[in-house]
Amino acid sequence: MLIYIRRKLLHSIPIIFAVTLLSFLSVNLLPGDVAETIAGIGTDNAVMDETVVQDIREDLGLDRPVVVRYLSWLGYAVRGELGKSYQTGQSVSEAIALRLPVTIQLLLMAQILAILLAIPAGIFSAYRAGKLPDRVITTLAFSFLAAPSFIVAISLAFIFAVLLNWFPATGYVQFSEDLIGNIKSFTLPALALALIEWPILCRVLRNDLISTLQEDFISLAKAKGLRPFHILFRHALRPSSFTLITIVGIQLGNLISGAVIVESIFALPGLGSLLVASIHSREILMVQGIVSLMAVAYVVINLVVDILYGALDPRILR
Amino acid sequence: MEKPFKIAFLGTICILIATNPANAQTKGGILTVGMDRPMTGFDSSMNPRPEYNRRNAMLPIYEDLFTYGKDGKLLPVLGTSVKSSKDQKTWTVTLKKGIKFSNGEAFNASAYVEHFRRYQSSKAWGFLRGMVGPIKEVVAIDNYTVEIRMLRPFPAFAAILSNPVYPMWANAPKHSVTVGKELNRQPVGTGPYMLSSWTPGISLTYVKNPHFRNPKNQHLDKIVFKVIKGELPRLNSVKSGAIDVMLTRDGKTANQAKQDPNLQVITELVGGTTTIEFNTSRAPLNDVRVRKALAHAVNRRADLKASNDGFGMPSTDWFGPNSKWYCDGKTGYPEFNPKKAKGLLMAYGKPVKFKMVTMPIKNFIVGAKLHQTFWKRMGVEVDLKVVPPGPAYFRAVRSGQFDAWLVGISEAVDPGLQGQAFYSKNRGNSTKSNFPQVDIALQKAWRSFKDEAIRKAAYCDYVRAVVKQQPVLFRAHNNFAIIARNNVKGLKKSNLTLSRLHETWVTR
Repeated sequence: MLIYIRRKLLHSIPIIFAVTLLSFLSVNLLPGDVAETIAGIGTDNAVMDETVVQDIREDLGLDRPVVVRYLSWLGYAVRGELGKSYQTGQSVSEAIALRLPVTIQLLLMAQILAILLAIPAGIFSAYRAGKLPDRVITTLAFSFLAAPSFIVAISLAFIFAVLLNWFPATGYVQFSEDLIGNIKSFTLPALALALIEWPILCRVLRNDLISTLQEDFISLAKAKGLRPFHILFRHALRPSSFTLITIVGIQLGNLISGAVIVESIFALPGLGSLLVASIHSREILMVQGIVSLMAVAYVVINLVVDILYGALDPRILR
Repeated sequence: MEKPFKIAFLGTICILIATNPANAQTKGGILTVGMDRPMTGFDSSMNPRPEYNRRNAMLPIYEDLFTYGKDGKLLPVLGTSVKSSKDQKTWTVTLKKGIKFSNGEAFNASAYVEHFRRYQSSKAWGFLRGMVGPIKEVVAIDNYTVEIRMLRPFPAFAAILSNPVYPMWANAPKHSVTVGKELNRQPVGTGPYMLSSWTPGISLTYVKNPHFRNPKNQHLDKIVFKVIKGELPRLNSVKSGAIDVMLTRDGKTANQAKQDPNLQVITELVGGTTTIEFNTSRAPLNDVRVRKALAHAVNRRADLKASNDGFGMPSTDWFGPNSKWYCDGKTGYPEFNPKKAKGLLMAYGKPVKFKMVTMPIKNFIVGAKLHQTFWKRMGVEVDLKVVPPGPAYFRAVRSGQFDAWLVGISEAVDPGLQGQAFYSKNRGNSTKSNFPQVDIALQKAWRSFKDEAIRKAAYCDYVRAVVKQQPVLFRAHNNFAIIARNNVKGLKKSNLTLSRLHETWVTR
């Protein structure tokens, strides 16, 4: 097992290196001159001095080749120094540390909500496979799967915040400040992500359950006269959850990209909204720091899933 | 006896109802404002961006020297009096005594000396000078008298002293020296509120300035500016009560807010105008008939409707109807008349094709494309290119590659700050204008400063001279809106897109 983990960890190092390099290059491939874009922010009607642009270029080291800049960034990054925001002077690490808990809470709440929606729907769908309830759930699932996250988010904000006034349309309340307020501020964003997430989980569970329900031990349980609820939850669900658990892990990584949009719409001060704002204002060090962190998180999540997979199925360890 | 008794009884009931604490307006509360853009900093020598989010976030901290009363008379704020030398090259301002900055430092002449020392030695000075005029030096005559010496006669300075012109907002002098570059994050002004915390990209929190001279005017306990990107999320936030106020230039958002009975919308028809300027030095736009034809070909109401949901009004000069410098629409601006446009192009007799550049801003892109369509109907071909705002855009304009460009002329406080683009002897003559009548009219407008009425007449003559030559097309004066929930009290109309939100209070 340890050898397996070590092998996976060693595989992760070049992946993380490649991801940071690619993200650095892609940030540098953004259209337009970074220094000029920074100088142009908020000056829609005004002429800025050209010397300001030159200053920005020198301060950001943009006059050096990309590879040199990447190596310099990497040198500092491995020591935990990710640089500073050019415009506000805030350190990238500080900004990330401030916003990371928000994103983590959002992702966890979204994942929990998605599981809470997916499990009952998947079980019911499998139990009534091919019948009307299954078709209704399938149609709903595919509708949400096809809907872009920003449409779902805006619709939720309109219905539950503007019309019904049950939840705030935007904003964030700290956990330590007000627990109820905190949960309320996360409900709509988490639901927006969960509504896109649950269909996949639901479909995976349904298909696995349908196979499980055809097994001999289920027939035996039925013959014993056990109630369907008992059979589904106590006997069928557990052996059918193997793929579900794997998908939950992988999807957590995918949720990060959904969070970028949802955080912006609900003005949640997480990493996603910071990333969007930083791209708009060409805060290259901030973008680089966040993208690298997301990439590392993605690699780590997949590593954990791989390890769990190995633990659950020892054949993989060979 | 029965009737007077009844009247007395009813009167008592009415008085009781009126004085019931539940009905009394309690001044106080926390005001939450939605910002469209993150704050980039308070020190304009480092960070001179003029965009309205930044200026509005600065306003609770700082104060002007003077303001105007309803009768147009100068009212003292931080200054008590102002006088200019005969040639209007030297302006002497006397300051109020006993005022303190929020850190306890005394407010005096050295605050302005230090303030301008920092500005004039910064790289942003070239940019800031465009807003405060040709200041040569600022000298403290005594503790409470400051002399502002200009490079040339500058009558516009009276308006700069009495309007919310942000490069005039001074910080505590000792604090400025002590914190250096950190002043951008740690502002200290004399205003009613002071910055208590700033989480970049998320929020700014202001609390009462304990040294403010008039605590009765500090109604709010706290002000919070939150960053909420996008018009729709911000509007939803005001509607749902997540924030109390938002500011916007977007017509669609303001028009939507007007439909909601729970919201109040206060609009300001902003001076300044969106324009399209021409390079008048080369064909085909060196011919006034072509320029006039282009003006006649455009339905400006349709442009305003498409680019900003009709939120504003077509402009006929740089100043709008709210300004004392407005020429009452009598500038001879060409009306929408496609027939006339075709006639002028026929008279020109050659195909008309040119290159135009615009910025990727909704109002500009839509406007540019609409103009392209109107002109195409006249047989005029326009190649449109989009360049990001900032230095790249103005370099493109100056490069000579383009014949026309869209540009927004900001709300100026005085005609003395206008006209650089059309004066043949000016370095900033981007339109390559060389019209003697325009030069003469502009020189007259700049010089005739003793009598305001004569000055205004001269300014309007200048606008008419420009319109006659048409090196520029006026598009629209756009509106600026404050959208607030009904429980925000004491809201006033904005001035130069600056809203004095810190003077409001919130009832819950």
